[in-house]
Amino acid sequence: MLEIKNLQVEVDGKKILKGLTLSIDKGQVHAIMGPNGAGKSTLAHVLAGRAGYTVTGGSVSFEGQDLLALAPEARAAAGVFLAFQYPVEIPGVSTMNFLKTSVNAVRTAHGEKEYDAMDFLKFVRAKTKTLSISDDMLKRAVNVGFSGGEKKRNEVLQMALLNPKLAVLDETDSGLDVDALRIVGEGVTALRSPDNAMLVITHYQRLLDYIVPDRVHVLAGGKIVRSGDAGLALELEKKGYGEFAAEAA
Amino acid sequence: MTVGTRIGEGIGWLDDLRHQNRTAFHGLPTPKMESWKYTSLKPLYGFAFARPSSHEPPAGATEAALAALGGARLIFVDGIFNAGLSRLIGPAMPLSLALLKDAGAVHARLGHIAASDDPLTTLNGGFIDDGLVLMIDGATVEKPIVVEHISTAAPDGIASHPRSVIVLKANARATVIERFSGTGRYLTNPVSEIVVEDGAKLTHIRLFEDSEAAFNLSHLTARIGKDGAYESHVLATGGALVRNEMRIELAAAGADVSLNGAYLGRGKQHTDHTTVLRHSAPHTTSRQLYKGALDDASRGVFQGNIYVGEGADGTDGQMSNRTILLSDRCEMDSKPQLEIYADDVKCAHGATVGELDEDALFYLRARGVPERQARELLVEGFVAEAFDALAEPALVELMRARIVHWLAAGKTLREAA
Ligand SMILES: Nc1ncnc2c1ncn2[C@@H]1O[C@H](COP(=O)(O)OP(=O)(O)OP(=O)(O)O)[C@@H](O)[C@H]1O
Ligand SMILES: [Mg+2]
Repeated sequence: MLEIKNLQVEVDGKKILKGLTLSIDKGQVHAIMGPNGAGKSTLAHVLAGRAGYTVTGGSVSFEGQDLLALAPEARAAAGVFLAFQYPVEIPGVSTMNFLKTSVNAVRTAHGEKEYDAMDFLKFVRAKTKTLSISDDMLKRAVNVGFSGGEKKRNEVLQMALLNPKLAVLDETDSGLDVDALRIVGEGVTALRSPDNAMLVITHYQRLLDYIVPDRVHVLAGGKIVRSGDAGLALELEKKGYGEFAAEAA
Repeated sequence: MTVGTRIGEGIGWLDDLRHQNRTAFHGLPTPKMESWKYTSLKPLYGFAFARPSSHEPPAGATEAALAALGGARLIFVDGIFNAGLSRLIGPAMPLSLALLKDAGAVHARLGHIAASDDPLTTLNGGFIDDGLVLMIDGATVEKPIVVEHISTAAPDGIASHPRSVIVLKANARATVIERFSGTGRYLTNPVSEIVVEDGAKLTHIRLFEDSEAAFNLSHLTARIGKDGAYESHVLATGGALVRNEMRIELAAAGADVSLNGAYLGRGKQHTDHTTVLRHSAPHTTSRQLYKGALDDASRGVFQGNIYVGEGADGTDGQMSNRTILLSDRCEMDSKPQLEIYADDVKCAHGATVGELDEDALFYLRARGVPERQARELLVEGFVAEAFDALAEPALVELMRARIVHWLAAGKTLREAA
C-alpha cells in the first residue's frame, strides 16, 4: 500500500531524513519509535504534504500513485490521514463545521453526495459517543481551549469520520491520562481493518498494548536503523536508544 | 441643487434647519483634517449631487433574508420612502410620515445631537432626505426592525442624505437592522441620531453592501443614559469607499457600549471605521472589536478613539482591531487612541495586522478541504468572531451567510488555489 524508498528530506537546508526506506502492506500496522529529533514528525508531515520540506531524493508511492506529486487535500481524498502530534487551533471555526467541511470535501472528491446538516449530525453522534466527545466540544472552535487529551480525541474522531486507508498517528498517545489512553487505544483499534494500514509513531509501549503492531521500526539519525516484530518495542522501552546512537551518526 | 420636493417642505423649523446647514457647508472634508488623513474624498470632487428622477428600485433589490425576519420593514429608494415595498407595523415609521403625524416630536429630537463640526453631517442637514424615525416609550419591540436604503444609478451620480432619529425611552428595547445597497455610482450620506435613555437597549446591525462604484459616508451620533446599552454590529463588504463614523457619548453611570465590526475589501475598495467614544460619567463600559480581511489592492482604516473625561472614574474601555492581509498590495491603517482625564480607569487597546495562519491552512487541507475553500473558511472564522457577542443565533447566521457570500464571489482567493 505504501512504499517509501530511500527518502531524503531537508528542512531549511538541514538534512533530516537521510535515505529512509519503509514498506507497509494493506491490513498491517507498523510502529515507528525513535529518539526526539530523529525525524519521525518530519516523515509524517512529508507524507501528508506539508510545505517547508524539500524532498531531495527518493520516492513515496501510495497504492501505485506518486504521493509526493499530490496536493495535501488530494492525499486526504486518496485516503491518507495524519493525526497531528500538535493539533492546530482554529479560532472562529466551530469543530462541527470543520468536521462537516472535511467529510463533505472528501465525499465530493469521491463523487459522493454531501451530507446535509441532519444526516451529518447523526453520522457524528455515532462516533462521538465511543470517544467521549461532548456536544459542547463540537460547538467550540477547533481545538481552542481543548485540553491535550481532548485534542488527541478530536484527532481520532476525525480519523473515524474519514475512515482513511492509511492512518499516520504521530504521538497520538502522548499527554493522555489512563482513561483517555484507553479511549484512544480502543478508538484506533476499532478502525483497524484488513483493507487499511496504520503507521503509529510513539515513544511508549502502552498504545501498542491496544494495537499490536506487525512491525516495529527504529528511526534514528534520519534512517530506519532496525526493524523487528512487536517484541522490539518492549526491548526499546527497557534499553533505550543508546545502542543506535553510533549507527545513526 | 434644487430643493424640489424634499420631505416636510413648508414646515418652518425644518426649512430653517436646511437653510442654516446649507449656509454652514463649506466643502467636503480634506486630508488636512486630522480624522480624514487616511481617507481621501478626492474621487467625489466634481461629483454632481443630483437628485434622482425616478425612485423605483430594480427588481430584486430588497433582501429576502431580511424580509424573512417578519417585523417592520422600511424601504427607502434614493432617500425617498417606498410605501409599496415597506411594511409598517409597530412604532417605526419614515421621517416623512412622522413629520405629518407629529412634527413637534420630531422637532424636539432632530438635529439636537448631530455633530456640528462634521462637514458631511452639515451637508446632510442641508438636504435631509427620508429615513427611520423610531421613538419607543419603555416597550420592547420583539422583532428586528428592518430598514433598507437602496440607491439607484444615474450617469452624473445621484446623492441621497437619509436622516434617521432613534429614541429609546427608559427601559425600551429594540433591534434595528439597516442595509445599504444599490447599483452603479452614487453617494449616500446618511446621518443617524440615537438616544438610548435609562435602562434601555438598542441592538443595531448595519450592513454596508453598496455597489462597487458607490460612496457611503455614514455618520452616527449617539448618547447613552444611565444603565443604557448600545450594541452595534457592522459588516462592511461593499462600496468603492465606505466611511462609517460613530460618535457615542456614555453620558451616565452604567452606560454600556459594544461596537463590533467586520470589514472585507477587495479590488480597490476603501473602508474606514472611525469611532469616538466619550466616557463622560463614572462607571461606564465600552468594548470595541473590529476585524477585517483585505485582498487585492483594497485599503482599510480603523481610527478608534476613547476619551475619558474628568470625573468619569471607573471607566472600562477596551478596543481591539485585527486585520489579515490576503495580498501584498492591500493596506491597513490602524490608529487606536486613548485620552484619559479620570482616575481608576481600565482602558486598553490592541491592533494587529497579519496573514492567514499557514498551520491552520495545512490542517484543513490535510483533512481534504481544497485550498481555496480552506482559505475562505479561515477568513470567515476570523472576521465572524466580531459577531460572537450577538445573542440571537439567527442573526449570527445572517451575518455569517453574508461573509460566506462575499468570500465566494471573489476572484483573487480562487486564483490563490
Ligand atoms: N524549520 C526547521 N529548521 C531547522 N530544523 C528543523 C526545522 N523543523 C524541524 N527541524 C529539526 O528536524 C529534526 C527532526 O524533527 P522532528 O519533529 O521530525 O523530530 P521527531 O522525531 O518527531 O521528534 P519528537 O520525538 O520530539 O517529536 C529536529 O532536529 C528538528 O529540530
Ligand atoms: Mg515528533
